[in-house]
Amino acid sequence: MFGTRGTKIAAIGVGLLMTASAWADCRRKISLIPSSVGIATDSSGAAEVRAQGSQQRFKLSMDARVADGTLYVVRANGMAVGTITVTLGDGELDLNNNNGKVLPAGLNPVCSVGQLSVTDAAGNSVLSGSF
Amino acid sequence: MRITTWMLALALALVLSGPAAPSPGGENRGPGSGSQGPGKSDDKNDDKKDDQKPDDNRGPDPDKPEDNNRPDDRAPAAADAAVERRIVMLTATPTGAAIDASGKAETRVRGARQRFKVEVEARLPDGVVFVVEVDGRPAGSITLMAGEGELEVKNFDGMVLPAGLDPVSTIRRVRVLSALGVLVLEGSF
Repeated sequence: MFGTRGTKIAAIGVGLLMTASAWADCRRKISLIPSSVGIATDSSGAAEVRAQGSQQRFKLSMDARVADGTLYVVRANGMAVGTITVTLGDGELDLNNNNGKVLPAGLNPVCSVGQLSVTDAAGNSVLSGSF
Repeated sequence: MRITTWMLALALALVLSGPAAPSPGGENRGPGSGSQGPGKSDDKNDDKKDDQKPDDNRGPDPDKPEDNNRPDDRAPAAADAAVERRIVMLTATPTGAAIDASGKAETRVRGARQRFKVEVEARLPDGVVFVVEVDGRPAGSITLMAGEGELEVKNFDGMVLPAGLDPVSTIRRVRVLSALGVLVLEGSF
């Protein structure tokens, strides 16, 4: 009898843990570190992940002393997740899963994002950081 | 003698009345036609006509949004005369063929307005990201949803063309790569 009840309690506990992990909330923000290429263009940036319930958001904003139209590729955990086109010295990549939108595979779930990098059109690292 | 007089009189009458009688196919078409020289009233009428009909020579209004819903096989209209449009179907690499990838790239220029668009379809889950490269430089990314996605960049509506895409009319090579850099689709204008 106790054994059956214990099994049920254990199963419920595991279920709750799994649910909690699937809907894990997080909110982290980091400043990105410029490489030598980034320093040469006065680049700076910050990234933020936020998850609450089923809502997830990733945002990376950056500044750089470059011409309008300069494009950077953003990678999370080694996978390209989007691009930023600089206008008037700044730009951002703001992604979320609201209103039926889909997060890039490398950002889902956002709480598991670790390594971030921003590279220029020639593939040079400009900014990087880790949550 | 009487008959001769009558015949002469009749002949004279015919000669005198000839030009006044309208003849079929004649040149006397009435007022407003023929080489009557410049006339103010006719000029006014022409001006009115010009005001009433659309001026096809004015070309499209660059501030008006483009009509993207018109079918591609429409008859060429004068309003489209200024639009330069290029389309290329992208070819799948073996990697692309394995995921049923297909796509096309398009450039469009109308006056100072420029647009570059890439559409991709692939049998992959939602959220898969592709990077679009133009002439060896990244131009943006595409995130798949329901098996398709697109990249559209332009120099109007508050957007700036990525460096290397301006002018879009000089774009030659378009490549679509996976998030890890594997070539999936490619094509050249």
